[in-house]
Amino acid sequence: MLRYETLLLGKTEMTEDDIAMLERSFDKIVSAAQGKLSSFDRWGKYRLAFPVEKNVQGVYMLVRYQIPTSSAATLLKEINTFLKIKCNELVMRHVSVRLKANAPATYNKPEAMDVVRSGSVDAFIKDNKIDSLLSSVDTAEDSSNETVN
Amino acid sequence: MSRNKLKISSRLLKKKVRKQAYLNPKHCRFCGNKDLELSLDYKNINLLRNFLTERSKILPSRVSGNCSFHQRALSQEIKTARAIALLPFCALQG
Repeated sequence: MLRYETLLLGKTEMTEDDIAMLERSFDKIVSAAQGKLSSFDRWGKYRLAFPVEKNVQGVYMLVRYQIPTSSAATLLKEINTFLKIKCNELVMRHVSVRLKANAPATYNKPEAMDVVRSGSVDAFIKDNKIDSLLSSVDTAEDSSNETVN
Repeated sequence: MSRNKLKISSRLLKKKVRKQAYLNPKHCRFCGNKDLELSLDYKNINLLRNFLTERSKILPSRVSGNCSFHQRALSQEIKTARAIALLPFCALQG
């Protein structure tokens, strides 16, 4: 079983229905080739590095799937034609990449534009793990790092 | 007489540069670091941005210190990221 992933760049006018339709079509194509869809992540809205089809912002989606070795070539072609022809209105760019055998399941993705940050300073410090700046240390949370002063 | 002096000094400078390259060789930050190697991905633009100049050109390996294997892998990932608009092809003017 080979692991592949496709990163889609869609327009910001995509609705939830469009994304659900994309996921279902991917599922259909991949299972027709005796494969399995591992994950479908919607990353969110991003500011693009350069305007793509006159759009400055876009929505990224990452699809990961596993397929048997024999049907890999035909499946990739099918996905390519599907995204180019059927999803011409919605999907601007796409890139399909084969994942290495030892690739981890988690990945580092860039920060999205529509990520809502919590306003409090303490939450920011805890998120970024700069514990030394915390004015009050919660002993319940830091029970694992007990420092003897 | 002055021309001979110039030739000697430039030779000395080159000798110094060669000695520096021998004494402080640049190390590839990916070699031996399994986690960093695995995180070398076109999606990981925070890592990739370190290897671009301010005009978004890919840094040569003599500046970044990468070995040839990782420099090739890195430049391939940067080019995929550029194709899908995660990284710019060139810096915007102004």
